[in-house]
Amino acid sequence: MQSKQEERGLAYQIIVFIFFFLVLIFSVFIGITRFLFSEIMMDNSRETVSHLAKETVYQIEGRLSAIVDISQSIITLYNSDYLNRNELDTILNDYIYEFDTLESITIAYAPEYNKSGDSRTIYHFKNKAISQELHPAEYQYLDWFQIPYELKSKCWTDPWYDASSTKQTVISYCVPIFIKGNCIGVMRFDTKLSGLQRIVSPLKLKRSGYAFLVSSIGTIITHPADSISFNESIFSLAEETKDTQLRELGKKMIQGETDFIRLRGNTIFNDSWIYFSPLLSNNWSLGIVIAHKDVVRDLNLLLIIQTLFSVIIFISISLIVYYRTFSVSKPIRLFTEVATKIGSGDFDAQLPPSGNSYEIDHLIHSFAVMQKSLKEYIKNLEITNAEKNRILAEVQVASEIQRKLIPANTEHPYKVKEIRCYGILEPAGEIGGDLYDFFPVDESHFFFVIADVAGKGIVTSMTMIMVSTYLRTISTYNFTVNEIMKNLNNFLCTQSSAAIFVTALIGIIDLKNDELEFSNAGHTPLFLRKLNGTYEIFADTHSNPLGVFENMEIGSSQLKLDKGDELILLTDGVTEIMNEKEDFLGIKGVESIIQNLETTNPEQTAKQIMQYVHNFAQSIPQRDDITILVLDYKYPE
Amino acid sequence: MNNKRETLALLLLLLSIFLLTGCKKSDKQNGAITQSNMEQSPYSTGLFTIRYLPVWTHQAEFAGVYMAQKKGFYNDKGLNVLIQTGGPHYPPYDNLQDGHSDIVQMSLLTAIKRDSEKDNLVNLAQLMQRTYLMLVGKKSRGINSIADFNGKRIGLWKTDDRLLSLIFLQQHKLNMDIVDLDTSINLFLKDGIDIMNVMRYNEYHQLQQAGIDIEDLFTVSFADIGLNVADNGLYTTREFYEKHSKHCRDFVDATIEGWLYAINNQEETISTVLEIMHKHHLPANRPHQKWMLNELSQDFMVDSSQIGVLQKSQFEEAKRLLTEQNMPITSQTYNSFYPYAK
Repeated sequence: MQSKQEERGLAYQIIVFIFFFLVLIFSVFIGITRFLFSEIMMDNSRETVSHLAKETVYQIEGRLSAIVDISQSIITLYNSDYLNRNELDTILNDYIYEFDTLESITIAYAPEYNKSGDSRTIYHFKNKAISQELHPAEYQYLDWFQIPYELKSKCWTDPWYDASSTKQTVISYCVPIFIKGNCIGVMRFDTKLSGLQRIVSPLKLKRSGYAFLVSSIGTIITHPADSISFNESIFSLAEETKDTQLRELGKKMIQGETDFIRLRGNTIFNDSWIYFSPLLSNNWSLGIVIAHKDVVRDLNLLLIIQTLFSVIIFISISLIVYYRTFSVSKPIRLFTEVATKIGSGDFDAQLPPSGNSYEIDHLIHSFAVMQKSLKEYIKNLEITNAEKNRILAEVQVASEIQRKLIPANTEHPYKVKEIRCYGILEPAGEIGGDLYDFFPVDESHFFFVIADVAGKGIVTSMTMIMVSTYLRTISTYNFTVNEIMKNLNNFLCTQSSAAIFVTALIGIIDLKNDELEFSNAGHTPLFLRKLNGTYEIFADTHSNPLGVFENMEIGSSQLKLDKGDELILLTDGVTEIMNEKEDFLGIKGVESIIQNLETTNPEQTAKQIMQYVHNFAQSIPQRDDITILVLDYKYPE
Repeated sequence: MNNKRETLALLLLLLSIFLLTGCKKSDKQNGAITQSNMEQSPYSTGLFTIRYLPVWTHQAEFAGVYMAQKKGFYNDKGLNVLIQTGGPHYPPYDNLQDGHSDIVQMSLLTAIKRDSEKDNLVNLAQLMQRTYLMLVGKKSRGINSIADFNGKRIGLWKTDDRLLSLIFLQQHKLNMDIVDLDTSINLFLKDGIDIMNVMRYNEYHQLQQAGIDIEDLFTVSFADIGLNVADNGLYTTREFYEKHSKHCRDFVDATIEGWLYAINNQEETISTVLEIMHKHHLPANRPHQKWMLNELSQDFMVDSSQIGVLQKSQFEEAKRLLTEQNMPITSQTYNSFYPYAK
């Protein structure tokens, strides 16, 4: 509960709002930064590695070009007729001595041109010139001899281990020797691979960048991992991890293309960028690897700083909002305590002196005015309440009086043995507007009335008392029912307020002649239930409700009563009662009830009708007085 | 200091050669084997020593022998097997006849042809029941059918392994300029030749590892065109076989056991092969050796009673092909050539 209150707190809501707002703003900001800067970073990296690659290629090409230049000079010397073998070998020794890059020179003849065993390798070992004789069987199928010999063109070999002479891994520039258009052999100029490796291996770029060389058939020649050099090719690495992208990259490398490509596979390159550029002399390719994380390291650093900055801003704003909100809401909390005291009845509770903002001051002032008004209101309310209690007491007295005006239920009212009577009046409020009454007018006439004064409350009740009293008085003058009704109408028109009207059904039973004369002034119909269970309904009214039109002519009706006839009189509280579906019971409903009655005296009839009415209404509260009056006539014992 | 160490190492090496070869003349140029390039079992005391010469340099082609040695299958049978270094410079037949090797591995065609010289070869086991030999040509060089071979340059191994290719050329009456090859595929890659012979398990895959896609090659697989001659088998001389028949049988059984182990434990086997290749300074990578072992495994995915068996039909087919091309053949009968025939 406490945490929920805190969640709804002002500070909490403002901080949450700021949080989402800042997340949105900084996400957009970081996204834009990443988008804009990643391209710049890529371009910078490409620029850096391409520069490095060009410089490295230039160095390697320089070393290879030196060998090519030497070869041209020596071939020129070889083709001249001025030098014999020894003189030529001396010059070759001088070249090897003079040029560090030149490891050895081999002159190898094809078997058919090596009759005098002139094939030889010249190299230096421990500063001593050595001329090692070669046999064609040793070399005629080796790449360095066979490829230039068969192709009749100059070429560079892939690295190979010269086990027979220098005991070094070398790469060789091989030049076919022609005499009179016939290729008679190959001249080979070796340079140590380590010379190229010394150029490539130290290359470091950022944290994990490195360079590697790939031969013209994809073999990896130099790589920081020794186990890879000479064993793996770009294509074997691609095959091991089924990396088609790496295979395509390998093809581009051996085809002499230049590109900057990102690899994402599981190869030794992992997620990295590779820049590759060809060595035009020998169709090798130089690759420079730079890890993607290194490429975007600066960008990531920038994004991390931005994120941290965002977090710091958020925390700062949150703290400021929290303390400021706490400060601003302090008078509100005091104010709340005072309001609670006032709510519990302490109207003299002291309000906080003032807030620290105009709004709070205004609120305190308004509350002070309200407090004063409340005090006055409560004072008035107390007076009003006292008055109300007094009136209520009086109403209760009036109610008591009203109840006493309703005749008590006895089996034979006023000991009139021909008549049995039973009435029920359920007022909707403390005091009601319904009334019923019955009494003998003389020895042979029995008077009954059921009436409903429109409205509720004191005025209605007083009117009801007036009607009751008036009827008791006037019925002693032996008037007919229509005369009684007419007098009552005029009395109500003159004595009562204009807003009050009364519906009534008045009847007088002639006990000697078994006749009933009744008059209905806008009231609910009279039901006559015969002894055999059948019934009649007398719905016609003889006039409008009473108390509206003065000197109104009012008629009456006569009925012949049989023994056991039961008169059932109701007020509209019965017919207009509603159930949960807001359906009225109506006249038809009452008829249905009367049809199903199996009673033998007025009390049972009245109570059973009331029970049916309650069952119909179920839980729907009663909105009008309900009155039922049942009389039977000379019920056979 | 370094010079002193090198001198000492050289002296020790010479001493070892002297002791282990029984002062035999070292003649490397003629393809003889020296102790320095042998794979030795660590448990050799009291065991019968057999010198085994593979037909090529160390690779997964001989995986069964490596694993039989590593797992002690030879030792279990009382054998101490020295695995010699093979290759085009160490022709198996010559080394066997010269007494440098006791058991060698070579193709059936080579054996039947070369046996015409002494009629003393004994086939101990026919390990490869089919040929993996192929011819490949680059489509980019205009090779799209066998007819396109005419007038082109073809590279064939300088060893007897070229026999089947020669039979193919003669059968199809192809007039081609033949260039002798050693072990390299570079002349083909550099377009020095238009077509070359390759083993499906070796050079064919090496070409792929040099960036050539299979679909860029026109291939002729001899096994698919009626030239399916059984390839490598284990051979010894009749003298050695008759003198050490039990050891020969044990060698064959242990070798086949080694092959079955290699096929069922390929990753371990490839690691062992790579280890041996690196030890001999041979370029090697795992995908290639894996490809090779996988290809060769097919010969052992048959009924166990057929593993290592030389069928008479294979023997006769090889003789027929050689005879048709007027090449010499052995005078031995099938039962004499293959003493384990049932």
